[in-house]
Amino acid sequence: MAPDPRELDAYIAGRHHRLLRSAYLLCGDPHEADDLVQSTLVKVILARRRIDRIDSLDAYTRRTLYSTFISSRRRLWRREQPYGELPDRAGGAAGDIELGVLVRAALRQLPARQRAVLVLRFWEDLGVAETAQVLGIGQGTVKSHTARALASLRSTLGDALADEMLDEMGAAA
Amino acid sequence: MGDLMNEESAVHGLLDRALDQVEFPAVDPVAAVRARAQTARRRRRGRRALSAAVGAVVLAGAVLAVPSLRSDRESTPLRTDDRYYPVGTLLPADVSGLRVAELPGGPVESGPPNKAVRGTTYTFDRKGRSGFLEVNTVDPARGPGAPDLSEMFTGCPTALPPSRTCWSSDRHDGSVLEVSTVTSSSRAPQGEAAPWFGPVVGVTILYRDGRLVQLNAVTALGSPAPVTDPPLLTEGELIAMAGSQAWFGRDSVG
Repeated sequence: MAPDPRELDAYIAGRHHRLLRSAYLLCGDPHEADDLVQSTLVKVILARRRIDRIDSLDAYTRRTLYSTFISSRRRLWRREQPYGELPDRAGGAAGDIELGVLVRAALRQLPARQRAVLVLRFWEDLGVAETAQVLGIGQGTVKSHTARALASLRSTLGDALADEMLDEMGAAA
Repeated sequence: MGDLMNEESAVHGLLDRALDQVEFPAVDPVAAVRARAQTARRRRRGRRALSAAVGAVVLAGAVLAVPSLRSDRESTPLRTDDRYYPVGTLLPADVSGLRVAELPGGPVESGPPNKAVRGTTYTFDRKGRSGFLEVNTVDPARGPGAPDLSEMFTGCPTALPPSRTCWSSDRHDGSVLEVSTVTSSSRAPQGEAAPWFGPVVGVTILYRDGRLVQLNAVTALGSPAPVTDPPLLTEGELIAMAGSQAWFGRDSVG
């Protein structure tokens, strides 16, 4: 049975912020992220009758968000042009705000699919198989995208990534 | 293995940092999404009704005049004398010097004529200035590779940054017209450094059969400083150009 409209409203209100943050990591612009999430949720509402149960909404919404993002990158008027140069590499003393800017710039350097894989794997903490299912690609492709995306982050963020690893090791110790 | 796990946690931490200090538009998500869904539903219903009406008229016409049926595609006159057809033909009469733009990354030109998606950036002169025109067309009948555009037009965004405007409307033939403007903007990470692009006036027409024409008139591409001069083609001129069926003619270079 299709979810009740009130259930959908509650779902939108409850999930909106989380979706917005994922969308921001994907597209790097708060207004575009808002548009992406709204477009996604409009599609979810319009497809309401095809969704059996409210608990399958999450999977449907996630798949829609990522496919809308990938499609938007194919849109002719949004041809992405990666920045020519990144700001200076993060040093050990980079502040949080500077680090945020650096990470955002490094993400924008990644091709759309690599960025989507990175966000699904490391922000949404999905496994390889689940990520492959969301994006409709093979598990091998997910692995190769992950490896390339991480290599690119290592190369652009260098010290900042190493520092973050040290912090993680410190926190785990 | 441990290093790998640390790296994965580190990436999660870094993505967290990327979200620091980000201010999202303050909108009521439920109201905004419901309003857009309502518009999308209305548009969908309108298209269905129009489609049924057009279908009935076409059927009646076909019964009465089978021998004289011709599609727009077939009736578009051949213009093999114009290298940039139909761009040169559709531009206002006072435009001169039409040529493919030489951009820093090389000219952006249409691919082979049998590709569904084609795009070219032209430059031209008008009113003593040079400007740019980006032409993008999609025609599934031309060949493979047409993206599914039907899901992409869910209306203009409700929360636009001050640098953008957007409006859209349904056309009499069931296609959707979207008009947007963007002020001069930078693609540098902080948004405050060269190169600067724009201002842009963009007109897109999406047909129900998946064909699309998009024309963006752009004042500057890669300027060292922000530019305020308006593009050399007006919104009205672009709408008139984009509405032509010549874009889908056999000799169109797109």
